[in-house]
Amino acid sequence: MVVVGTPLAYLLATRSFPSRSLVMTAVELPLVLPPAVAGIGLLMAFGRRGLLGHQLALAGISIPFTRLAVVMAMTFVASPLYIRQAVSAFEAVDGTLLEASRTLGAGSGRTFRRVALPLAGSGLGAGMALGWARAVGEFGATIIFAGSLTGVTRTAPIEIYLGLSDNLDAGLATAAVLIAASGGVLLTVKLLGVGRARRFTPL
Amino acid sequence: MTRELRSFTLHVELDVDGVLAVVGPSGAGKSTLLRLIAGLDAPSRGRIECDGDLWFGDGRDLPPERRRCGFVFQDYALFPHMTVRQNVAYGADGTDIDPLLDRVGIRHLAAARPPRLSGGERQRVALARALALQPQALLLDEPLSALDPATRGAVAAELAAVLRDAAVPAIVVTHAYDEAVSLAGRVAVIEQGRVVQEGTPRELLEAPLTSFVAEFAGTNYLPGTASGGQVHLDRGGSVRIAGDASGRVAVLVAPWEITLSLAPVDDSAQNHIAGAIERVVPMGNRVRVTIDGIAAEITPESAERLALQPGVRVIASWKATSTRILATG
Repeated sequence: MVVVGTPLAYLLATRSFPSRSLVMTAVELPLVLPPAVAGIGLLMAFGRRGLLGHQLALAGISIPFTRLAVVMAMTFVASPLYIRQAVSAFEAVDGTLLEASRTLGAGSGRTFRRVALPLAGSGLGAGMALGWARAVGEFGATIIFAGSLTGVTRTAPIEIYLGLSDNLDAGLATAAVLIAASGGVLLTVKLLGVGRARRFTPL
Repeated sequence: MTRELRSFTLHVELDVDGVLAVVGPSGAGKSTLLRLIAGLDAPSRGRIECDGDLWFGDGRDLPPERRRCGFVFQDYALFPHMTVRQNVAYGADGTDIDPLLDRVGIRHLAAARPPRLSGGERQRVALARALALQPQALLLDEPLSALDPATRGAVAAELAAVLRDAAVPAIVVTHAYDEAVSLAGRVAVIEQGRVVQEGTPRELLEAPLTSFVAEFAGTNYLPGTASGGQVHLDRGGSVRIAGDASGRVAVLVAPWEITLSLAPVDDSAQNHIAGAIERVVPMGNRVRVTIDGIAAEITPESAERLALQPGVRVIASWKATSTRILATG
């Protein structure tokens, strides 16, 4: 998500091309799709009887109801959040700085690594946290595409849901862990953001 | 080179050797000119060459990173997440930058980050960063405009010395005549995307071709119609000149040739314009007084003795022999 999404967001933020809004819409689509639809969609694409299922089966690959399926479902629903946040983080970087970098002999790749990336850092961090939170909370798409196999594809929210009917204590314990983890991530992002703002603004 | 802009076309031919100041009203295309040369924008047609290297033209458009063209941006565009040393070293390609830091006097700031620097310090960092590139050409976009007037003079003198040492062709966009004089040997004036006049600062002062150039150089430019020893001004009134002229002309009077008095005086000056003072602007060792659109420069002592201030009615006088005439066709 980060490896592919970051350069994509940079391009979306700094270039203007005719199909920009089309790409942007495609990126944001999973955001408005109900997770259950996303899960069905993934199943229809990669499932055994799905569009690519036959080819995948020939290659000896079966995705649904595996850990890979969990990751795919989470990536599918969470990446728009990250990419949107990353686009606005890159848009907030002063374009003159990128131009200055170019005149100083740095090509677009080096400009991206040495100027755009560090300056958009806190925004990217916030985007990652958002994406992570959405991924951890993912329920609908996961349960449809990956099922709920104990120890393999049973994610924390599914554990909580099942806990309601057969083991409330286990459900509550999982929820407590999630609260602590989410709070920790949020706090870290905020602290990083404050540290950065303090470094870059005159006192 | 040529480039279409929103409301007009920029069409410029310049041959730069040494330091050239580019001046013009805002929106005349000065900054665009620099961006085209640096490769941050592409001209629609034209040719850009530097020291025998083709940068643009004949189907070639070298990206900015391959032009080695030092650019000092108007707001300096220093990288806020890097120290002064990292900023300067950015384009240095591993060469030792300490001598450069010493040269522009920022060695002691090497570990500081740009947001903490003063305007003058930032300007020097931006200049050092552009020089560290060992540029083939230097472009400076209003390098002194972000500074307060108190430090501007000193920084201008330093900048002039550094530009002389660098010994590469340089273009400085500026809006102040004294900056152009202290930094550059030649001045090109751009209006509406065209070079309307190019010459030494002195040539601009003595023979401005447009009212903008006259105003920029600080001289009075009064258009009118000449017949014999008289010029009837478009603004009303007439001016006596030495010698004969005819047709459309502009009357040029240097502000320091004009004397001011509170009451009519009987002297040899033949030109008198009476009016209320519009502005009184102190300019270092002289005071610039504007009466009815005409600028006069007198000493601060005289301004004080006559108690000149806006609203006071005075008579501006000058001799016919201090009037110069420019045919405007």
